[in-house]
Amino acid sequence: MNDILFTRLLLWKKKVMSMLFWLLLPILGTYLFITIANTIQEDSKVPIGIVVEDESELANDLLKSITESELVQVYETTEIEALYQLEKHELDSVFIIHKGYEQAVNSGMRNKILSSYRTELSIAYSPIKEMIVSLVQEETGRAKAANFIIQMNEQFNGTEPWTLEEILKKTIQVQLDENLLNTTFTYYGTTNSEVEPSLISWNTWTIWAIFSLLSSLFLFDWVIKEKSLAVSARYTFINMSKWSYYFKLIILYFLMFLLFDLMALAVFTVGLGETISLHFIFVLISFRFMLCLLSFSIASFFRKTARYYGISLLMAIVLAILTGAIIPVHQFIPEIPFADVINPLHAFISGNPTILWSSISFMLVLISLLRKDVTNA
Amino acid sequence: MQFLKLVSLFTKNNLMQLRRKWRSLPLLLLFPIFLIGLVAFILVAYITNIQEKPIQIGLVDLDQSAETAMVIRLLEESSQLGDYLHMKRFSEQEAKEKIEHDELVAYILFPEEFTNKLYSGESIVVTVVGNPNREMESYLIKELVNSAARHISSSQANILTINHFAKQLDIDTETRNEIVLEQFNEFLLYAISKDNVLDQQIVSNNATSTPKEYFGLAAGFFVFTIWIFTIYQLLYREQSEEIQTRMMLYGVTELQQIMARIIMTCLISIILGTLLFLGLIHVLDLSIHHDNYARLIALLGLHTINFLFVLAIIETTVHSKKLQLLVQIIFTIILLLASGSIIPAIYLPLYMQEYFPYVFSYQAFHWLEEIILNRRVYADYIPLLLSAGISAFLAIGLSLLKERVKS
Repeated sequence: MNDILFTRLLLWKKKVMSMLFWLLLPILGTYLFITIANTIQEDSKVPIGIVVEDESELANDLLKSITESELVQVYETTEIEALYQLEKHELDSVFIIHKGYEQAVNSGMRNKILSSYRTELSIAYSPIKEMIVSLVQEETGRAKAANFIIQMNEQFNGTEPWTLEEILKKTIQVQLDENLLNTTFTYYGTTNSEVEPSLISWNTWTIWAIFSLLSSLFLFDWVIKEKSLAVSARYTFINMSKWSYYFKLIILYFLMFLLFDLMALAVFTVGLGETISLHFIFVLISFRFMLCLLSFSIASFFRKTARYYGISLLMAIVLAILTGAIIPVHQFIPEIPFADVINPLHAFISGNPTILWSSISFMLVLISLLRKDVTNA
Repeated sequence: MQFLKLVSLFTKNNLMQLRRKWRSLPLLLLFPIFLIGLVAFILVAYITNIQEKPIQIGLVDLDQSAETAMVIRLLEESSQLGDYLHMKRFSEQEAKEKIEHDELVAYILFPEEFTNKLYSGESIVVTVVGNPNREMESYLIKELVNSAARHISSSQANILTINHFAKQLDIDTETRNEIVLEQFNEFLLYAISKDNVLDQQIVSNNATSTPKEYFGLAAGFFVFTIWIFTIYQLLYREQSEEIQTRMMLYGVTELQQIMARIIMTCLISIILGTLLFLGLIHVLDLSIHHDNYARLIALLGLHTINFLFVLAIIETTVHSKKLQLLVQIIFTIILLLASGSIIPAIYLPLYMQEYFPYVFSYQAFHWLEEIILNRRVYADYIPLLLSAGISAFLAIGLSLLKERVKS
C-alpha cells in the first residue's frame, strides 16, 4: 500500500492544480449553484402593465401600493400600448383602473371597477391578481363599512352626523393600531419558525451528488490513460497481482475523495445550514464507495478519453434531470417504478445507504478486471 | 493559399470521420429530444398528479364558536380556491397523525378565543403547520393563507369600526351584537366574492401565441443548440503529442483544424436545423410567409456561427480537455438561459435583462420568434453579424497568439 501511495503522490504532484480543482468542484459548484439560483429567484419580478384612467388620489394610491410590491415590475402605459405589449408577451398581464374608480369605491360599488387582461402564456397572473384584488378590496370594504355606519346613524337617529372621511380615518387607524391578524408558518416537528418555505428550493445534497458524480468520473480517467502501451508494458514488472493493484488504487482514491466529502459536509453545515447525523455520514460513505467503483468500471470500458469525458457529461446531465436536481418537483410525482434500479443516485438522494448500486458497481468492477485478464492473455 | 488548402483538406477529413461514425450520430441527435421528453414527462406527471390527487389541507378549530364553524364550513365547501385544493376539518390530533403519514400537506390552526379576540380587536395569530416533505406546496398554502388573512384583517377592521360607532349610538347590547354578527357574515361573503372587483379577460387572437407554439419553438431552439454542440464535439479527435509535432512541421496550425471543424459543423447543423424547424412549423401548423424561410435559414446560420466561435474560443484558451468540456457546457447553459427559450426572459431579474440584447442567442431566438410566431416579415441581422465578427476575431486572434507562444 505504501508503494502505491508513494507512486501516486509522485503522479499527483505533477498535476496538483487540476486534481484540487476537480476534488473541490462538488463543494464550490454546489455552493455557487445554490447561491446564484436563489439570487435569481429572489430578484425575479413579474412585468405587468397598469393603465390608470382615473386621475384621482385613490387611484394613484392603488398604483403606488402595487408598485411597492416586491412581486412585480410595474409599467404604466396606455391601454393600446399595454395590450400590444401583452400580445407580444413583453408583459405578463395588464390591469386597467377604470374611469370613475374613486367615485365607485366611495359609493360602495365594487363590481368590475378594474379590468385585467392576460394571455394563455401569463404564468404569474394568479398571485398578482390576488394581490391587486386584496388591495382594492381593502378600499372598497372600508367604504362599504362607512356607508353602513352612516345608514345606521340615520336609522337609530344618531345625534351627531359622521362624515365619510372621519369614519374612513378611524378604520385605517383601527387597522394600523391593532396588529390584528397575523399568520405564522412552521414546519411540523420543528419549533423553528424562521424557516420560510420558498417556491423552488434546490436540495444541496442532490446538486452535490451530481457534481460528485461528474468529478469522480473525470478523476478516474487514469484508468484509460494508463492503458497506453508505454504504461501497460510496465505492469508485468510489478510484484503484485493486477487485482490487488487495482483494488488498492481504488481504495486510495476512495479515501482521498472521502476527505473532501467530509470537507463538503463541514462547509454545507456551516454555510448552507444543513444538518449532520451519524446515519448521514454512513449514507455518504456508502455513496462515495459506490461512485468510486462505478467510475472505475465505466472508465475501464473506454479506450479514448475524449469519448469517455463526453459520455460522463451526458450521464451527469441525464441523471441531473432524472433526480430532479434541476427541476425540483420530484417530491410530488409518484415514484418512477424501479427508480432505485435505474438511478445510481436515487438511494443517496432519498437518504438511504447505497447498497444496491454498490453491489452492482462491485460486479461491474469484477467484470471489467476479468475482461482485462482475458484480453491480456 | 496554403491555409485554405489545409482547411479544405481537414474539412474533407472530417466528413470521412463523420461517415465512419454515422451510427452514433443519430443516437447523439436524439439525445436532446430525449432530454426534453424527460422534462416533459416529469412536468406532465406532476400536473396529472395534482389533478388526480388535490392538495389536502386540514382545518383545526380550537375555538369551536359559531363563527369559526361557519368560516370552516365555507372553506370546506368553497370551490373558489380551485380544484387543486381540498380542505377538511380535523381535530388537532388527527391532523398531526395525517401529516406524519404524509396524507396532509399542511393544516391551518384557528386558535382558542379566535372569535372573541376578533370582535374585541386583540391580535390573533393563525398558524400554518406545513409538512416538511412538501416544500413547494407548503409555500403555496402559506401564500394563500396570507392573502386570506389580509382579507380577514381588513374585514375585521371594518367590523370593529362598525362596533365602535354603534356603541356611540343608542342601541342596546343585544341588538348591537346582532348587527355586528350580521355584518360579520356580510363581510365574509364580501371577502369570498372578491373576484367581482375584476373584469377578467383573456386576450387570444391571431397575434398571440399559444403556450404550445411558444414552448414548441423554445424546445426546437434548445435541440438545435445542443445539436451544434454535439456535432462539434463529435468531430474532435485526440492527437498524441508526436502527431501534433509532426503536423506542426508540415505547417499545420490548430486554427486550420478548428476552422475545418467549424465549417463542417456549420454545414451539417444548418441542414439539420432547417429540417427541424420546417418539421416544427409543419407540426405546430404555423403558416409563415414564404420569404421567411430564407430568414429562418439565415438566423439559424448566424446562431450556429456565433455559437461555434464561442466554443472555439474556449477550446483555444482552456488547455485541459475535461475543463474545456465543463466550461463549454456552462457557457451553453448560460446562452440558452439568456436566449429566453428555457424561461421567458421577462421573468428574469431586470439587471440580467439589460444585458440580454448583447447576447447573440437572445437575438437569434427573439427574431425566430418574430418571424415564426409573430409573423413579422423582417429580421435584423446587424447585432448577430456584429457579434459573429467579434467572436470570429477573438477566436482567430487567440489561436494565432497561442501558436506564436508555442513556437
